Amino acid sequence: MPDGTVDTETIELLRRVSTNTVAGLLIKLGGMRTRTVRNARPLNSARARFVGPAFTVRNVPVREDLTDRASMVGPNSPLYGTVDSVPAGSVIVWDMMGDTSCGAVGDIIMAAFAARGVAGFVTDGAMRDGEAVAGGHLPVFCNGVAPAPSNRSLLAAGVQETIGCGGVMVEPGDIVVADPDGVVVIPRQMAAAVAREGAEQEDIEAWIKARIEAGEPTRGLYPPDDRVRADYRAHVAAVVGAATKV
Amino acid sequence: MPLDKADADALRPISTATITTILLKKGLRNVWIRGARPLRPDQPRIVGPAFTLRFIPAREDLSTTASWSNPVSTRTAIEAMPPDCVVIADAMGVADAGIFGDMLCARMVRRDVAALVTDGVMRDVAGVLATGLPIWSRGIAAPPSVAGLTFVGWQQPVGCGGVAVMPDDVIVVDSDGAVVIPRALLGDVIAEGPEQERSENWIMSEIEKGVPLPGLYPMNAETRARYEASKKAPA
Repeated sequence: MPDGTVDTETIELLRRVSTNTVAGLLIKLGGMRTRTVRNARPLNSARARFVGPAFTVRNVPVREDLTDRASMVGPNSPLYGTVDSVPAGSVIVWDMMGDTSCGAVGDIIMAAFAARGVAGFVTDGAMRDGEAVAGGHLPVFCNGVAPAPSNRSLLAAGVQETIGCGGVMVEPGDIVVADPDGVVVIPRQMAAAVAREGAEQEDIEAWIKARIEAGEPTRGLYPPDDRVRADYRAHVAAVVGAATKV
Repeated sequence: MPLDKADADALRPISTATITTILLKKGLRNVWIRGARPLRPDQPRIVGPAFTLRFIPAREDLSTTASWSNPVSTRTAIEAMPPDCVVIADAMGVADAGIFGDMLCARMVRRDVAALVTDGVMRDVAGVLATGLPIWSRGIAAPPSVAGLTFVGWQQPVGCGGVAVMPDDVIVVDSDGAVVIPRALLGDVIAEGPEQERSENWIMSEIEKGVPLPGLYPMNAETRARYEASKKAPA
């Protein structure tokens, strides 16, 4: 893993932050407007939430004289051994250059990744064995399904390199956050700040939403002005105070 | 890995159209780089070993003009280019961020780079044309590379215009565009190319004489016998 590995506390905090909040904070904190993976949809919307450090795979177009490198189970592929060595908790980010004519991997390799404790799988291309993968344990975001194997069109070129996936630059160890709305990638040095501020934002927004549902007008309340933020802090202090007394 | 002068000289008369046909017979159907058009119509055919460049999407804090001073930058990559190489720049087909302008092209000329081929676009086109570097690209755009791209490395396997290019593959580029010849197949292309060019020139002369295409192109047995006889006949 490259330098700047993100701590477990940050990962846990991000589990309760939505991709919407993360995408907004990346613009607010870093001016980053290019961090949502395009054309990556959940294969199974009931299994579409994960957070974890990116483990990257890069593909280039296949060439018939290089097919000995194309099978990930063959010793000439840069992917050789990856299935049995990818760290638990990783989110695999698989750059297919948007190619949907073939599937990245199928249900057996996905079962192996799941058994290793991989947290999620993201690609800008398609998957094989769509029904079985959708019913498996590993959440997947992709751009459709296709019966043909990856070596129909693609050749693995590298593992754990800086890649592009769905228009997003992804460095190994960046933090990938996914929920049914999509996939957002946080540069790893921003993960702690996004987690901290994101968790606070989720809390205040839950409180604001309850007030709006109770019939309050949105003006000043959402987005919260200074008065509303002060009210919220008082509310938190009261709740914490009450909890401490018990 | 440089290309032998004898190999380069043998390859230079063979068109990219002929090369794609020969490679197709060897089972390679995807060797022509999509989107790379000649910047000037009169650029000669150029052959040379590939020197690959890889770009990926931009990230706002990394893809800045300051990044041009990084240890991994297009500037340092140019200093690693050997003479007579053909630069293959994988720009992911991005058409709104010019990967190189006149300064970098001028430096490539001074380093004796033979040509630049990209699935992306160039900028500062007037200045680029003035450098004389032969270029095949998707077009022109004013914004700099960092508006949409980040440069991440050189001499890695890349995809350019939908084609896999390995460092030191042999590139031939002419008015039809750029084709990639795997080193292992270079001998086949050099062995079969001249004969295919010769037979096609003969077929063209027959067409000009008014011979109908069926049986001529491709040649049937009778036409082939006439062609073989013509090769033995004094010119």
